Amino acid sequence: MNNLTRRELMKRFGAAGLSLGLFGASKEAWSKSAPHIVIVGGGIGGVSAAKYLRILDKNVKITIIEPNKEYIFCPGSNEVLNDFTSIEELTVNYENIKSRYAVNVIEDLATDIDYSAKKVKTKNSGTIAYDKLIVAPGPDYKFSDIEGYSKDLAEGDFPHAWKAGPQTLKLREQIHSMPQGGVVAISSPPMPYRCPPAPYERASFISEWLTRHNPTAKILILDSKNSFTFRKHYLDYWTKARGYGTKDAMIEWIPMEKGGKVTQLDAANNTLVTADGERIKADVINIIPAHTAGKFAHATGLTQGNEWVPIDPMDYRSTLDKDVFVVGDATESSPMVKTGYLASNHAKAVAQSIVNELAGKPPVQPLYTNNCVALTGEDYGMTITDTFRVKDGKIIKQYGHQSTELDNDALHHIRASLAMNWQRAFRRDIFE
Amino acid sequence: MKKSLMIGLITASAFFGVTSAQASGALIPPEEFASDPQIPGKMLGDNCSACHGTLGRFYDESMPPLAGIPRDVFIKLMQDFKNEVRPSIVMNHVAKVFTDAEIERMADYFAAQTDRPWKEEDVLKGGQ
Repeated sequence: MNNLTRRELMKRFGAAGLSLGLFGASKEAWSKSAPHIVIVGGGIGGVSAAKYLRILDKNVKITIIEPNKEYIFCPGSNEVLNDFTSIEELTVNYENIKSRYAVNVIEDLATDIDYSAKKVKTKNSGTIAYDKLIVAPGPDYKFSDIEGYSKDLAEGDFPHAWKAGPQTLKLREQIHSMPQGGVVAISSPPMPYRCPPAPYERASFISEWLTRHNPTAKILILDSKNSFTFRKHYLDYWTKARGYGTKDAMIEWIPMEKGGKVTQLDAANNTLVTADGERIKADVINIIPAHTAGKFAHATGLTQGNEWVPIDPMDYRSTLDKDVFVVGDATESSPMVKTGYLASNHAKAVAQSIVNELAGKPPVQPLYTNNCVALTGEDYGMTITDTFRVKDGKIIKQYGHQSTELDNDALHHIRASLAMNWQRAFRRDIFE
Repeated sequence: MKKSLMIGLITASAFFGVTSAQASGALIPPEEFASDPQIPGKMLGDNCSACHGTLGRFYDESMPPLAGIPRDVFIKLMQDFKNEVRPSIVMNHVAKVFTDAEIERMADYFAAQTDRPWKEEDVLKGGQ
């Protein structure tokens, strides 16, 4: 095939169609009879589903509906705050998913589902018919739980930065331009929320930058909980490296029982108000709001009046409609926590289940692991290993282990290397 | 008195085994799931990909690839991790949840994978 023809084909069918035609993948993929799997959301859950579906089945037609041109990984995004990494390093586009996996990516916002007609409505691209629908909307934020806080303020001077992107950069800039001896106040949300250790990881990375550039500054963590994941590790590290528990402490953590719960933002005065009525003025305010299922899940009735989407844990099929699957943070998956690692594993189970169903085979018994990492600093990592099984329609936590060793710098170092390695490998497992 | 109390406790912990294990983070022995429907090797093995690569096929990261690993080598490694004969930062905690039969099914799955980097795979043509 000469270049002219190739270019001509590119124009007509786009890169995905071209690669199919050129490299001999099944013609079925584009025939009218090929089942159409539509995926709402191009994050970790949605893209994992597309990729693992394609690995299992060369013939189905796969479409992702996603409003953004690029995806920015949340895992690792706290490290943007102290310049250990950059937003660019965490950013991927959909070209590889389109061309290598023959996935049609529609840059648009899905707005509704017509369950009886099996169609997804979009903002600008009309309706899209599906045979099976996978919904991966991620979480949404309950701004109204903090009086005076709003989406507009989050996009302005009070970024939550809980979705990596412009808000992450805004928070970074605020921290970097804070006056000497200034105060950063972080409001940590109640469970469940995305990536439980991340508020404390965030405080750690901010403190690393401040230690180098603003050593008299303070970080105040106001918590709506009484404990948190890897607490032992974080308190140990903060004690050794940041004077935690002394009058010179850079980091102070105030649990809910000691008055840490934030209930109000007085934006005009850069002040947080706690449940006890205490007013705390800070130079930088980072409210991480409580979570609920993503807007699309609520708008389409998938949540069935709950905060989270009820699913059958066998294959993450919605209990509302047998042709709709929901994966990731938006689902009611307790006792699982909300992590990208688990979202990708939900997606693999969905891919397997759909392929089996299309072939008239029974569903397979799933297993879900959450083998995650977190950091307190570049040289101090922690690991968590959770395994979940499904029995009688319920999720059983078979095992959950968090690293506990404190006085072992070699182990901290190895775990930090593991964590950095995991971040890279994980990103590639979804998008490469 | 003491003896009957002990028996009571044992019965209670057996009855509420799952609940108490969840609260404490203790391991529910994999054998307790041995009579459940079988989890296929692929479903088990796909849980490894975030560290070891898609289908166990990342060859350029610090965690070893799993694709093409001889069946008996995989079984020996996993059993040694499971039984804590071979100390590891993470793998002891990963391996101890699996039954012997599950480890064998994962071994069959990874032994059957092409031992070439995933990034070189022509996905649409197939091969996996």
